[in-house]
Amino acid sequence: MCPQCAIGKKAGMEYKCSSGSPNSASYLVVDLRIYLQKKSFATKKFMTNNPEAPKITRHAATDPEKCREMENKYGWKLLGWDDLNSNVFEVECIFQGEAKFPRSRMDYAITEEEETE
Amino acid sequence: MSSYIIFQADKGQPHWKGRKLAHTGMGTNILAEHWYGDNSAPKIGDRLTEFVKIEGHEEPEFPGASTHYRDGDWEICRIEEYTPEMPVGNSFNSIYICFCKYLPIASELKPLPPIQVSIDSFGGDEIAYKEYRSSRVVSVAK
Repeated sequence: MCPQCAIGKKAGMEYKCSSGSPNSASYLVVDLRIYLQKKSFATKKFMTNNPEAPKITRHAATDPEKCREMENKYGWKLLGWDDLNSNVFEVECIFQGEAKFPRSRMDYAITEEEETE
Repeated sequence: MSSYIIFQADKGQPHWKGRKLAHTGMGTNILAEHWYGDNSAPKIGDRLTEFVKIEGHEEPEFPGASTHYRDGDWEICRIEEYTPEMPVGNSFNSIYICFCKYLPIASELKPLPPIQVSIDSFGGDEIAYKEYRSSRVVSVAK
């Protein structure tokens, strides 16, 4: 298998590079460009079209600016925020649709701790 | 960058008397503001969502938060889109003004999902997030 094929497979692309192709170098450039575009799009897209998914999602935040940061970072639809007046969190950020976080390293760590308790 | 959506009451709509900006006390046509990080556009026929708090359904950690939501009584009837002349250095890709009509409906009241907490709730501050999680584990253990 040529290196171009390997990259294509890692990127989850449908494109298939035939081993020994004289144009494999140019295919690689195009392939990587499409891959990076798709990757950039994928990191922004955490909304789902699943009809069973919740129509509203809420996230706590220490101030309203965090709501805007989440909306911008993950491509969510921010409907607004409301006072929470909890000791830690000033507001709840209200998003349309299922606004899911990508799981962070710390989420995994704490879940593992909790599971062992 | 995002889309910024402003919802306004269209001409001739009722309930203008009580509609005021709390911090200035001045009357306003603005009904709501939304920010779409996916740069999508609002659609004619979309309705504003309304949030209510029903006693007895509060989340223990967040007793002051809303508990239910419903499709609201304001519906988009007309949309104007404004885009910046220069494509860079702007806060928004597009600004939409959605003019709405007051069309009351008997929509279903639905329970809100629980409020989530993550590292982004603290703006990416790992230490603050870890402290919060530790305090939660302690309080649950008590």
